[in-house]
This record gives sequence, structure tokens and C-alpha cells, in this order.
Amino acid sequence: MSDNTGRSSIDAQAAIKLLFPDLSLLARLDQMSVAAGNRVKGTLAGKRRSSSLGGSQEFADYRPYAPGDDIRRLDWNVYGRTGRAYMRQFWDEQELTVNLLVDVSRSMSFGDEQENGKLRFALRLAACIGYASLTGEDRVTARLFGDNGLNKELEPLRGRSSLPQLFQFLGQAMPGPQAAGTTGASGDIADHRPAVLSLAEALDGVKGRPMRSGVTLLITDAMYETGIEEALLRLIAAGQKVVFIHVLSPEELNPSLSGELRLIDSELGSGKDVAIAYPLLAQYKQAVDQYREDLSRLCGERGAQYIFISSADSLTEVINRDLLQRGVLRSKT
Amino acid sequence: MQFLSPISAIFALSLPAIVLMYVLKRVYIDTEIASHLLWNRVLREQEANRPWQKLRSRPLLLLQLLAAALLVFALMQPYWTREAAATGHTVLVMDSSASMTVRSDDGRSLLQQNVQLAEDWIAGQKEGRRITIIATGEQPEIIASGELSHRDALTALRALEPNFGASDNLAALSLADSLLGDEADGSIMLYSDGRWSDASAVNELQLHAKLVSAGANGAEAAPSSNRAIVHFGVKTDPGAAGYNKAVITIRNDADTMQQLKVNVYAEGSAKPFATETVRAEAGGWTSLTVDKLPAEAAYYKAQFAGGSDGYAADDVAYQFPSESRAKRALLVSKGNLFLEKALQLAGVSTVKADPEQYIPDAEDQKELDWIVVDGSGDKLLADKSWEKLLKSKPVWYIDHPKESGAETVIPDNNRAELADHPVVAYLSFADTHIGRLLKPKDAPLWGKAILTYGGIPAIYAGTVEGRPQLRFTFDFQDTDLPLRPEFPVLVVQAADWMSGGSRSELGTAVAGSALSLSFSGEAASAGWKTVEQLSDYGEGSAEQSVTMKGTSGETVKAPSIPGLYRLVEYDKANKVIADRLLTVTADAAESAAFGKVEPIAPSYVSGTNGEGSGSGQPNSGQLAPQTAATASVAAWIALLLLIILAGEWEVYRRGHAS
Repeated sequence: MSDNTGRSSIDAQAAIKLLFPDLSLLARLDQMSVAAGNRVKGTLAGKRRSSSLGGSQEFADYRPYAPGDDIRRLDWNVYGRTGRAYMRQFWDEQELTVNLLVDVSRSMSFGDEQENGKLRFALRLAACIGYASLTGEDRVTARLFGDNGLNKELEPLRGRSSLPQLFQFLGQAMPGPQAAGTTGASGDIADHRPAVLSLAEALDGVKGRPMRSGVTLLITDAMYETGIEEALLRLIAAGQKVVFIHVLSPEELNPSLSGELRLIDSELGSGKDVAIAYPLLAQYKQAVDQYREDLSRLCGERGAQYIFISSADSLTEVINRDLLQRGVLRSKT
Repeated sequence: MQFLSPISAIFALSLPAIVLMYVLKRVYIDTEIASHLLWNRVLREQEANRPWQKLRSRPLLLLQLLAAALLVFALMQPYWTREAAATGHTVLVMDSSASMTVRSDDGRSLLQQNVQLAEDWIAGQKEGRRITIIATGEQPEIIASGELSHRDALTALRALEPNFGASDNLAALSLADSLLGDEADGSIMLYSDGRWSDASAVNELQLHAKLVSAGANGAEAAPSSNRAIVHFGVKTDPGAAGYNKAVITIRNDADTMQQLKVNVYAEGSAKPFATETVRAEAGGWTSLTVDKLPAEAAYYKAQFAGGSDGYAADDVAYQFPSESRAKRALLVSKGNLFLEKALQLAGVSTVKADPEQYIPDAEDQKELDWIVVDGSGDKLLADKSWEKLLKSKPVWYIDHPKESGAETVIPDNNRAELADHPVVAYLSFADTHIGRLLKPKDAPLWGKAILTYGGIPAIYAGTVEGRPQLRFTFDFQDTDLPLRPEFPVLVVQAADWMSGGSRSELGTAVAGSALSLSFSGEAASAGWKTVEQLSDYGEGSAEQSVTMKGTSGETVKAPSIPGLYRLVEYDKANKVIADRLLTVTADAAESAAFGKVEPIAPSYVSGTNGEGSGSGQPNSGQLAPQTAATASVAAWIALLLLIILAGEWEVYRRGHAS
């Protein structure tokens, strides 16, 4: 079986191998779940406290009886003491929707020959979060965006039984040795598909169901000229708690370039003639730092959480340091 | 800083060529990166002004430009005029001879130019470097000796005046060499025009110090166009009584034939008496005659018309009318055939007089130039009329010593000692026998013994009141002298000496030379008065006093500047009692040196290893290989530059710049 990207589909077992080189991580992820920020609203009953009142066991408030109310919820003790009828109200418990938005644009997949490629890292990170969410009985959706040829959406999943489906979905996007010849990373620059320069556009390109409120984890390298703020606003307007995970490869943070080079943009195919010397590299690093700061401030202003991760870091470390400590994941116990 | 080869700056074109290669360089290594997003922030500025920005931050380009610039700079052969290395004692030999007065187009003489060059050189030396300055002359003169203070050396140098007299260049160089002695780092700097008449003698010299020829070279600066009046003779015109005739010999040193115009002036007149034009071949001699010169003039002047050439000292000549008639001498003798014949050979017409019979009178005195008293001198002096005659004329006494007596001396040996005197010049008196000599109790006060025979004075010479006197203390009959070939020479020289005193003028002398002059007995002081002088030198007509040490036999220094001078004698009352004219000329060798002269190149013997280096021309011999070496290095550097350019092109072609 083969989809429109030309990538052969792989079975779940192979996908797990690709996504989790270290299976011990799964055991740790079993103990975690995605932090839900505020009370959530889902369609099905779940383990999350919903923002609406409902039929859970957790007491929320009293309210005066109104005709037509279910008298099973009447608080007879209060009525006995005071002679007035009060209704007991309880929180409704609903599922949390975790949206995984993974950027698969060419800039992300650039440098995938290396083990610490950004796309590889982003998919593994998404798999980890997805695993934690599904084992926590949350609703998980996954979307790949940024490349018209690769854009895909996975229908919402629930429960452990859906794990293979998620892994298969993510594993297919995984650049593997078997797909090296056909991936765009090392392909001919000339036959690039037109690149999307705006993040907002890239996200809109995935037409799917309207989003339910929940947690959105946006994993991207933020290599978009425009539309980052717009995209954030739209997600927040759709009732999402946005976590902006910014992934850059070590090559981008600390380029090992020198000499007179024609730098070719992997997305646009255009080149720049540059004579690279030490001062220019220093300027570049400064520019990268500045960009990270700009993004961090933008997220802060819009109420989104900004997390920067270098793709060279180990997943375990990232989960412990960045996701747990900064409250994206939380321990169930 | 100056450049030996400023034309090599053309190689600087290689710099823009290198830059151009960088600007035009199209090949960059394709390198794919994830996105330009981050680079854009950095490169925004660099993209703005592209071609120029391309060249920024390229250490390789800067290095290449620097290397190319250094090479071009080296090719231009920069140099400083300061000689930093040489610190040793330096002797500057300043040629101040007359030929150095040649003027160049800017009106400065060679000597002035050389003094300026020497000043510049001294100014470029470190204070404390020992500098000695020697001026050439008849005797080389050290005008600054081992000066550590350059200011003193400069002062001495500026005071240097041209020396028109003879110059002994050999002595000057020898002195310079000996001054340096064993100083290994000493050097001689010669500031000369190279026109040395004694160059061949100088070239046989073996110097122990390095000789560097510095200074303006007259021969190179201005090709010799000199013309000279070599000789100016005046004699009585045989064709016209009462007139004189002049013969002028002219030399043309120029490379081309010249029409030369000579003006002849009689005494003091501003208008030429006669003007003669003569054709002179290149490097040739020619002569011309001027007839019917007025006889009464005290002197004549011959001068080239149309101003002087570069060397002015030989463009003018003075001459006095010669004594025309033969000298007449009164031979007071009882008969002396040898003497009589010898005097006739000397061109003296003799009037024989027997002292016993002849009574002098006033008429005779006018006719006579001088008197020979052969014996019985004392007896004659006793006679009044004789005494008057003898006191008014130059007298040559010949004593006749008696067979025996208190004053008669028989010499022990035949050793003859000669003084430096014109009467005994060219003579030796070797093997001459003199039997008896008169030894007067009182030696004559007027003169000195110019010949002693066996320790006894044989000939006295001197002057009495400006008149020459001679005294032979032996009789010609007591000696074999008349039989010897020297005898006629002695008589000719004696006759010349006796005639000389009667001449009214002093004749010709080389500038600054020592003159043997006689002054009047009454003269208390004397001085040179300038009649005419070579322009631009000296103080014009100011009178130079002459030091008079004694009354006779004085050696007086001739004026140092060519011209016509009058020696004026004063008595105690400061009254002029005599004046005589003297022509002062520059050393004739200086004028002759304008012809072909050997280059000055004494051999150099290294003082350190004692071996003759055999370098015939130390000044040019050392410079030539050095310049040759520089030239070959320059060629290599040029080649290196081309290789670098070729390498640059290869780098450009391949697209590898780093």
C-alpha cells in the first residue's frame, strides 16, 4: 500500500521501532499525562473535569430547585433542616482533546540523514506526547502540515487500542533509510513544490473537522516568514491551550560553514552568495538568539507557552526537563 | 624616501587585477541549508551593496593584496639617503683646485656644488661620527681634523675657497689615507671633478681605506668647451721700431672647431687695442700675432671676447714688454778669457775695462746693466768714481785670493754644498777642484752663501737695495771650473740673476706660490695692490700687506687669485718708493686638465687581510656588482609576482578561494 506521498506504509511494529529507539521511555510515559490547563470540554465522558456541570461524583455547588429538576439530586438534608429545596450540582467529567500539529515542511525534513534531524525528533516527540495522552484516555488528533504533498490528518483517537494507529501515522512520516531516495531532503532542488511561507496558511491547508477546545502542541522549526502570530491567534480563538515547541537542529544553531558558499534555501531553491567568516557566524548566532527571543515574547503576549528544543537533545531529557518541569506533561501519581 | 625604480609602480596594476578576480568570481560552492529565514537577518546589510560587500571579511584577499603590494613596493626599490651603517672615521677630500671654479648653468661653481653635496652628506650623518676634511693645494690642508661636532666641520667646509695655485692631489690622498691609518671602517670621500693632471701618479697609489667618489663631476655635468690662452708673449716688433709685437697661443679643448676672438688691451684701457679672430680645431693649438702694440704700455692683456667660458682663469693673460736689447756688462778685469767668452755665450755684451786705466763716467752708467769686478774689488771701492758706479749697479765680484795670507784658505776637501738658488740650479760642482778660497773676515751682510766648497763659502748671492749682487770668493785661475761643462751654465744663470734685478716688473707667478723677491733697502712695508683680478673672488682692490722679514732674499707669497697685481713698497714715512707689477696665473696644469685626463682610480689594498683586492676602481667597482645583484633580484620578484597572479587566476578559475 502506498499513499500519495509515495511513501510505503509501514506496520505499527516498524513504526514503534522508528519512533522509540529506547522503549524504556514508554514505561515512563505511562506515568504521565498531558496537563490540561483549564477545565476542558469534550464530547464524551472522560477523566478530565469539564468546564460544564454534569454527572460526575464531584460536588460543585447548590442551586434553588426549579420545577422540572431531577428530584434525585435534591438535597434532602438541607430540605429537612431549612424546609427549602436545593438542588446539588456536580462537575461533569469530560475527555481532553490533545491536538498534535507537526510541521513536515522541507525545512523540517532538511538534514534528516542525521540521527538528530528535526523532523525525526519532532515526530518522536509527538509520539511520546500522543502515547501519554492515549494512555491517559484523552482524545488525540494528529496533523502533519507545511508540505502540500504530505499534509495529513488523523481522525481523533481514543484509548490504548488506538496507539498502533497513531504510531503508524507518525511512523509513515518518519524519514527512514528505506525512504531516503524519495524524500525531498536530498532530492533535486529544481522540482520543489511551491513552499508555503505563512504558518497560518500552512495550518489552514489541513482542512478537517472544526477543532474542539483542548491542548494544541505545535511542533515546528518556525521557518515561516509570516503568519506565526496569526496562527497562534486562530488556535487560541478555537479554544486551544497552545504549546509552541520550537525545534532547531544543531547545524542551524551553530553552523559549521566556512568559505565562499552559495546558500540554497531548501524550500525556495533560491541561493545567496556568502563569504562566511567568523564575524558573520557570530552575527548569525546573534540573529538566531534574537529570533528565539522574539518568538518567546510573541507567545507570552498571546498566552501561549513557548518551549525551545534543540534536536540534538535526548528525548528523555527533553521530556523531563522541558515538558514535565514546564508543566506540559504532568505525572499521574 | 625615494625610489630607484618608480616605473615599477606599474606592477601595482596587479592589485586591482586581484580585486577584480574576486569581484568577478561567480563560482560559489552550493550548500543547501534549511532556510534563509535566519540568514536573511544577517545578510540584509551584505546584500545592499553587493560588489563591494563581497570583498569584505576576506582575509585571503587582504593577504594577497598585502603580498602583492609588498612585492610592488620592493620592485620600486625604495631607498633612504641616510647611510645608517657607516659609522667609521671619514676623510672628506675636497678638491679646491682652479678647475673646480668651472661654473655650471646655474651659475654655481663645481666647488660650491661639491661643498653643498658634502654639507648634505655631513648633515645626513649621525652626530659623533668622526669627520676630517682635507682641502687640496700645494700642501694639502686639513681644515677640520677628526671633528665629532658636525657644526664645526660644516663651518670649516663653508669657509673653503678655491685654490688657484698648484695642487698636489697625490699628497692629499696620501694624507687622507695615512690619517685613517689602521681604522678598518674608515673611508675617504673624494669631492672632485676628476680633472687631475697628476692622475697617473695618483693611480699608482695604494690606498688602505676605501675611496668613494662623491661630488659633482665636471666632466659629466658639462662637456669641456674650455678655451685657454696658453701663452702670451710680447717682444719688440722687428719690423716697426718703437712698437711691440704679441704672440698669443690658444688651445681649444672643445670637441668641435671654434672661431675664437681675442681682444688685446694696452695698459688699463677699456677699449681693446686690437681684436683678432682665429680658427681653432677641436683639441688643437693655434697661435696668432698682434702687431704694432704701443711700446709705452706697462703691460698688455689678452682676453677672449664674448665673456668667459666655464673656467675663467685661463681666459685672460697679461704680459709685460720684454727688455729688448741685450744686456751690457762692464767687465772690469785684467783679462779673463773664459769668463768673457762665457758671458758672450750667455748673450751679454761685455765692455772690457782695465781698472787701472778706466775712469767711469755718467754716460757709461746709462749704457750698463751690471758690472763684473774680476779681482781688486776693494781697491776700486776706494776710488770715489768707482764707488759711485758700483753702488748704483748690480755688481758681480770675483775675488782673487793671494797665494797665502790671513784670508786665504785652502779647502780640506772638495765637498760642494749647494743652496737652493737660481744661480746654482742644475749644477753639482762634482769633482770640481778649487785651489784657494778667500775667506773674508766679515761675511757679506747682503747675501748668503749659495755654494760652500769644503766648508768654506764659495759663492754669495743677495741684493743690495734691490740690486742683485754676486761674490765668487775664488779666482777662476785657481780652479778647473772653467774647463768643466757646468761653467757656461753657471755663467748664464749668474748673468740671468744679475739681469733680473734690473727688470722693472716681477713677471709671472702661479697663484699662492712663494716668490723670491728683493725689496729696496729703505722699504719698511709692502703690499699687493690689485690692478685687475678674476671676478667673483677676493675683496677687489683691497691691498694685501706683505710681511717683510728681512731686507733681502725675501720669500713672499703671491696673491691667491689670478690677476694683475702691483707690489708697492713704502718707506718709513709711508711714501711709495717702488712698485712692480706681477701677473698671477692659475696653475697651468689645471687648465691643461681640461683636455684628456686619466680617471682617478688608485688601487685599493685591504687593510684587514693585507692582500690587494686588485680592484682597480674601488668606487665604481664596488657599486657595479651591487646594482647588478639588485637588478637580478628585481627580475625574480617580478617573476614571483607573475606566479602569484597566475596562481590567483587558477584559484579564480576553480572557484576555490579558501
